[in-house]
This record gives sequence, structure tokens and C-alpha cells, in this order.
Amino acid sequence: MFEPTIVLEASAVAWSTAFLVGVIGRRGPWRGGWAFSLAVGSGFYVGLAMLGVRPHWSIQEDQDRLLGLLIPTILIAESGVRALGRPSRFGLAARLVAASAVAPTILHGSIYLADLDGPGSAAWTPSQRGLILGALGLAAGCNWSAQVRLQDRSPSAAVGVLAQAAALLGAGPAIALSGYASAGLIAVLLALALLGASTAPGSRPGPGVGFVGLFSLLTMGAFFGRLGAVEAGVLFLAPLLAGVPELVLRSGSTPWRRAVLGLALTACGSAVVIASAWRRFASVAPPF
Amino acid sequence: MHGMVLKFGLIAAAAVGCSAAAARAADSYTIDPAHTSVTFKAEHAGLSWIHGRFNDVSGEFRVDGERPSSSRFALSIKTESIDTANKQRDEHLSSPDFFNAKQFPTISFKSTSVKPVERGLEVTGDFTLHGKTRPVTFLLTGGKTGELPPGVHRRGYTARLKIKRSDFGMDKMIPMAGDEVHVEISFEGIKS
Repeated sequence: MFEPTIVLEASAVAWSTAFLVGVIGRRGPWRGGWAFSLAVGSGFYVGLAMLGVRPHWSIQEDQDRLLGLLIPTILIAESGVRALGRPSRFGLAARLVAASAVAPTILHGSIYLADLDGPGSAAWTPSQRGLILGALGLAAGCNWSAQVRLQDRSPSAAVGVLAQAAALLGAGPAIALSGYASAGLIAVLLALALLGASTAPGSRPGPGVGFVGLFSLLTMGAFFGRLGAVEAGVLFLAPLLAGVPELVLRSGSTPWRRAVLGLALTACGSAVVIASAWRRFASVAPPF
Repeated sequence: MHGMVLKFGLIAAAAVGCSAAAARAADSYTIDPAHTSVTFKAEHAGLSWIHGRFNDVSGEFRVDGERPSSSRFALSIKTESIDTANKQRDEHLSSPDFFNAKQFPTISFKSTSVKPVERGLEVTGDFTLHGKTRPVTFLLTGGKTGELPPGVHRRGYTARLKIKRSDFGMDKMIPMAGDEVHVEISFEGIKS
């Protein structure tokens, strides 16, 4: 599964498929929000198929819940919400509900939430579960809403999605180096699909699938792998770094200069996390 | 009337006596983790074999000398106790790339039939790994008993089996980590 040449091929196919579908989509009857979702979904799942990665039925593991439930749902939901037109209260409410559902979905049936070894054996007590999942849901809802605001202020809607892709490109190696290689690969393929879809001419990117994908993968890396809380937190907030120049350098610089600077900041955040994960990985003799 | 009561009484006494005798013939044991090994080996990229073990094992078994088919064996292993002498590899093996210990914290076996054969006992049972249960059959050899220390009665067995991890949904990173896994379980039980 992880032969480097096949991974590179799958990555190239993910990007190019998303790009092509995005180009074709802007002309078709399903242009707009649907085209972007279709482009991302096509590139992502075709890339995964090349690596033999697919959700299993019945859905039992975190990866199945991500690939078989969360990503398809957000692709469809975001298209539907955006088809309503300008951001609405319905869109905001839907975002908050969706953001709150990610962590419980990923952790469903795991030792954190379920008594797998008998009554009371779950790692978290019911009150801890409420607190932790509530905090994660709130943080996710706020982050997502902030990314939507960022997208509105950017010279192009693609800037926010490119920032998400940059964060995912950091999450991929970091999660893989934290002992969960396949999730790291999924993060990289999602990043490339987002890149391909958002750089297609006429594309109308939305932040939903990138946000849900990033948050889901960080949750998987932290709770099923060994991704550190600080590393996960930096990557979680990294897409928002793209908005810092918008706040700080409003006058005296062009919008595109601010956008490039913002993406560079996000990339720096990703690079720092990769370096941290690599240092931890290399400090122990690698198993292969 | 008196005769019928006496007859029923004798029959009842005989039944109680038989079950008591059967209970005496069957001995129950609790697995002694200090003298139990669950080890495995799997190929690495077709180059060499990686050996490992599980350090947290528990279970019980019941051996009926007079009716071996009534014997029962049950074993439970904590997935996260995997030990391949490399902490980083153990963490990777515990991740969803392999055992997914946070989702499937226990590996278990419960026998469904036991048959005496020439070299020991042929045991068939439900083996649950990675959330999937499949029937497995293996030869259980040994069965010797001992008293060590005095007053502590023990019985031990050994079994070897091969499984394909992909049969249990563990299908990632094949053939980098081999699909076929050779397992050896050698256990002692202390009579209860």
C-alpha cells in the first residue's frame, strides 16, 4: 500500500482528477457549489482507490466513519447549503450541528465512549464525555465559522481552501509519524484534491469539506494515533493564520499580497508541526 | 405408594450422585498469566520474521478427563499489551493501521467443541480479533499436570495456529507486514 511510487501516482491522480472535474463542472448544469464538491470528492476517492483504500461495510472503525459517512455527508450537505445562495442562519446552524457531530462520530464505539470491557470501563466518565465532546464541538464550530468569515474577506474564496490544504499537507506527515500512517496518507490525498478543485478556473470553493476533513483527521491522529495535543492544536488553527495579514496589514498592501503572506504563515505552522513530529519519530530507532 | 416414593428417591439420589461424580471428573482452571505465553511472528516485507508477544492474558478452562468433549477453553488478551521489543512499532501496531486497540481492546477465544485425537485435543472455537469473529481449529497438546508449589495444582497446554489477518479486517500494509501470522499459545492453569 505505501510504495512511494504508487503514493506519488495516487497523489497526482487526486489533484488532476479534482482539477479536471472542476474545469468541466463550471460549464455543466451543476456548476457552483456542486461542481466544487464533485471535484473534491472525485479526486479524493479516485486517489484512495488507487491505493486500495476504501471504507468497509459494516462501518466499525474511525477511518470507515470518515470515508463512508463524514466526507460524503459534508460534500452533499455543503453543496445543498450553498445552493440556497448567500450565507444564511440555516447555514450557520447547520455548520454548528455538523461541527459538533464530527468528534462523537469519529470516536463512536471506541474505548473513550463505550464500555467495551464491561460496565464502567470506558476511558471517559459520562461527565468527561460531555465536557470533552462539548469543548471539541464548540471549538470546531467557532473555527469553522471563523474560516467562513475569512473566506468572505479574502480576495478569492480559494485562499481559505488553500490554507486548509496547507494544513492538511502538514497533518499528513505529522499523523503518519505519530503511528497512524494510513490516516496521514488520507490527509495528503484530501489536501491534493482540495488543491486541484480550488485552482480549477471558475471554481467556487467552500470551506466545509476541508474543515471537516482536517478536524476529523486530527481527531483520529490524536485519539487513535499518538499525535500530540499541541501539534493537533496548531494544525487545527493553522488555516486561520491565513487571516492574520487581513487583520494586521489592511492598509498598505494589496489583497493578493496579504493572501500570499497568509498562506505562507499557514505553511509555516504546518512545517513546525512536521519538524516536531519528525524529531520525536527520529529520536527512537525507526522500526523499519 | 411407599414403593413409588422410594423408587423416585433412589432415582433422584442416583442423579445427584452422577452429577457430583461428573463434577469431580471435570476440573476447572484459571489461567496463570505468569506462566502463559501468547507469541506470534509475521513476515516483514518478505525479508525476515518479526516476533512479538502479548503480555496481558487471562482466561479459564475446564478439563473433563472422562468426557473430553465436555472440556471448555476461553482466553482473553488485551490488545494494547502487544510487545515486539520496539516501542514505536508497538504503538504503530496498536493503531488503526493494524490492531486498532482503541476500538478493539480485546482479542478473545472461546471453544465450541473439543475432540480427543491421537496427539491431544482438537479444539474448535470462535476467535475474535479486530472486531470480527471467525471459527478456528487447532491441536492442543500437553495436558500434563503438576503440583507446584505444594498445594497448587497446575495443568498446561500448547497450541500453534496460523491465521490470515485480512480475514479479520486487518488488511492494511500487506505485504509490507505479512498477511499470515503464526501464533503460539502456551498456557498453564491453576486448579480452582
